[in-house]
Amino acid sequence: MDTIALTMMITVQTLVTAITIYFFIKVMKAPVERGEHTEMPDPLDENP
Amino acid sequence: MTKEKQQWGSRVGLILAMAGNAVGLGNFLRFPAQAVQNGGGAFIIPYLVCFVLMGIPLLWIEWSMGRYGGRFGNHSTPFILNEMGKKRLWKYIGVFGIFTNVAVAAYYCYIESWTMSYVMHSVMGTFNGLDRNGVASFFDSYVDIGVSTTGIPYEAVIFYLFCLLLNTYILSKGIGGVEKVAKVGMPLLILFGIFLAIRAITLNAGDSGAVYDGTLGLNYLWTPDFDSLSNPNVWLAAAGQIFFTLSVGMGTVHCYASYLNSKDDVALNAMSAGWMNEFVEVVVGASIVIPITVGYFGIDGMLDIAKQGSFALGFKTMPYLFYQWGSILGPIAGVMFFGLLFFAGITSSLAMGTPWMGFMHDEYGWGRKLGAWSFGLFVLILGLPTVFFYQYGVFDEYDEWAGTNSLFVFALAETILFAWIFGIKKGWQEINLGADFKVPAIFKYIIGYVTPFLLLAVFMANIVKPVNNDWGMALSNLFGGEGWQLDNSSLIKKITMTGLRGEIAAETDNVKRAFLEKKLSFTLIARGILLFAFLFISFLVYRASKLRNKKF
Repeated sequence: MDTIALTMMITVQTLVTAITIYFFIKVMKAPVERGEHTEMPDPLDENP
Repeated sequence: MTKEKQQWGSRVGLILAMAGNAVGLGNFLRFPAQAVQNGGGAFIIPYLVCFVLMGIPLLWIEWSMGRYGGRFGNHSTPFILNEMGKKRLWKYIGVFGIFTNVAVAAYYCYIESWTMSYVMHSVMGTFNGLDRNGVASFFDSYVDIGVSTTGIPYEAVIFYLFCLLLNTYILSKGIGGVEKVAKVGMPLLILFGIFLAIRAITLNAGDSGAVYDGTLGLNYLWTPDFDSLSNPNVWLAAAGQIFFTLSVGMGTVHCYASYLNSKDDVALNAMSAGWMNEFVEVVVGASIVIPITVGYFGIDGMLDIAKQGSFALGFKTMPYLFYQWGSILGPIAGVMFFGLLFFAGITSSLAMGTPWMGFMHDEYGWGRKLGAWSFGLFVLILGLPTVFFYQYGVFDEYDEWAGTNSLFVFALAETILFAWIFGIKKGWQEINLGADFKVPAIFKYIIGYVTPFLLLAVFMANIVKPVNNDWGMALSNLFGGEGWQLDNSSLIKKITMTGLRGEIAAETDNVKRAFLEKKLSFTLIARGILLFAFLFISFLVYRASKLRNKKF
């Protein structure tokens, strides 16, 4: 591969991969839940 | 009656489902074709700029709108928009957020069913011994449903029905079912993609019949043509790709986000899901189809195929190339490639079912089973014409109006609502509420001004696309007093079907002329069906609104 194409590919793909991993790890480390749940009642559920 | 909670089981499940919603067939087929046609490595620059200025803001807008609506018990766009806009009009603009999903699912499930069928044919060895034309003919025969490719009559119809049944069954399990599919499908998709990408990159000339190295394709794909940066068409193509790849403007993101807790983060979740889609597209998707195709057909051959569209690359070419890899690796590669397309497809089509289900539940009290099966029936009614009359352009017509123009209209409207009617001050608070990530303040201005301007510019450019897509010439003609000549692919000319009418007028062969006339009729029928679907959903929204008024 040409140097320019190779540099372009490696730079962009490394950047995108690094940002993806960074945000995914940040999500994993963040608090799980807070606030009220949205309720969705199921009218077909016949259990009293 | 018990109140059954529908909510995401885990944050990772939500992220994977959102990413699965965005990751679709376009990541593997449309993106590489767009890149090679628009400046190769330079295309990535406008692409990433549009991701930051249009994609990320739209993700934040839709995630926060969805969570906001969910707080008031709304899980579909008509009443989410109504809650924010407080004017009757917004309910009906919100109809797009249900209509688009039903109409797109109608033809999207058909493509999804092809991938299922191609997995089966890869295992069965159907493509073994076929030459390049044989594999291309197989696809043409497959979509010409009267011809049986395996002895199964109406095979395309059977696979379509099976695919729709599978989607409906999973949807009937609720959000939990969607989450389970995403948790299995997304990692498998990435695994299959990485395997195929490694094989593509390490493909050497002389290896398995390859004529060139696979890296020649990567070289072509990533060599930047910086001159293309001054071409407005490249920017329009980049903006369009970002728009489609993130599945924004559909109403699915709103629906998924409406099941979040009231103070759950949306800022970081949106970034994580959005970037995961970019990883699948830019890193994995870009490294499979182009290098393999160039390895066998060279750059000119690949460009010829890419010009015929994504289906020509994926369904008419790849099975033939995998067959060159031998009797063991060939079928494995076929199963992996069409398997990953299937997972990319199903995680998106499942998302398309949830706005309808959420709406019917909120407004008419339908349970998730009734919601899911009614969605399946609606999609079947809309979808069968795309299956039976694929050759007459019904499929393309659905894609044009539901899968393209509706998205732009809805995205533009929701951005104006969020930034200018609901108000950027309140909108900004919504984005930052419970945020696990500090959103840069500059995005307040980007959401308020840049994103709506970009959306408007892209949409207007499609409406008045100049002849031959030559903007420089068109502007010079305009200022020279010669007026503005529209291209047949411009929205205005598409509405009047000028291109097709011109083809009919120019055709001298009676058989071909009869075919084109039939195509014109089916195009009108397809538009009629879509219009009817839109009006039907609007009526449901109108009736729901009346029911709400009675309650209060």
